[in-house]
Amino acid sequence: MARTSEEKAVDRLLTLYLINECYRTHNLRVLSETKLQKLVFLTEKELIDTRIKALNYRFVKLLHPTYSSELSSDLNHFVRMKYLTEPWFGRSAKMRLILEDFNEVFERNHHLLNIIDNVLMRYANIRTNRLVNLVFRMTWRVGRNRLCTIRDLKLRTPLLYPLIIEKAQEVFQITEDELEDLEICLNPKLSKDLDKAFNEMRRGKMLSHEEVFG
Amino acid sequence: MGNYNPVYTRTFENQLAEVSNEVRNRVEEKIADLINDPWHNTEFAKGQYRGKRKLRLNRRDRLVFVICEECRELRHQRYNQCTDCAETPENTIKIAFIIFKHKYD
Repeated sequence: MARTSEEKAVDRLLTLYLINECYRTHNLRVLSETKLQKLVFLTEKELIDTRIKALNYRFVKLLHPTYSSELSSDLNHFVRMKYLTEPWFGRSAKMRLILEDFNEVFERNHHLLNIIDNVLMRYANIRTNRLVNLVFRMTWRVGRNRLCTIRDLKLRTPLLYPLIIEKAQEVFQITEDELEDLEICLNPKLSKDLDKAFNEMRRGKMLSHEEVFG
Repeated sequence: MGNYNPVYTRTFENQLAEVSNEVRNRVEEKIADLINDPWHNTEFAKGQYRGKRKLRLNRRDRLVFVICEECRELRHQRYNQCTDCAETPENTIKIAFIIFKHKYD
């Protein structure tokens, strides 16, 4: 099942938060997609293990060895929407604006953000190849009783999927109005259409009431 | 006409051409209210859309616009960057776009 628009918006906001923290707190100079895939995977795993519904990316085992096509697509959107700069997913002014304006949401969810911060504290400064090896060696439960390492799993084995709300002990707290604002900012198609209209407004090419309504 | 003078983007005009007469009339009614008091039931958008306001058309759809008077007062020109600012009267409302939510779900 695809993510809901609410899940997508929260995923995107938290991913931007995580990227910002990598640069702001952990002083990373660059971020590769491989490293980001691992950091988001480890964060989402930690949140699910503590029964918190926040990140909702589906991860499967692939060669590097955890991968979410939804996360990859969100990262591409961020670059296209100029939230992140190329190469290496650098921060832009637009990204800072959104993080500033949703600060209240972050403060409300500080407990959950502490978990993200702790994961980053453990893993953000580990070099990508070591991080990949570390994830390869992680133990994974297969079925009810069998344990094996992620390395031993078959390619495309599902690893993480969104926690259903009934199983969650805590859910990312966001009001309907905030969610609406977030969707306006982070929905790529809507953002593209809005930008087109605002560019017309900037150029001063406006029509009168009579021209539009007759 | 109310206290404010509404002007529209071409995109808004195109959006209006695609909707039923019923929706079109409802939008016109909302704009008639808006130009009497553009602050009533409206709020600022966030993030990269700072400086723009949104008005609730119904449970899901929103009208996005800028009040030129407010833009100047709050120095939102840095966000809105209209090239025709110097020639635009204070009582102008620039109506840019209708967010029809169902199109973006």
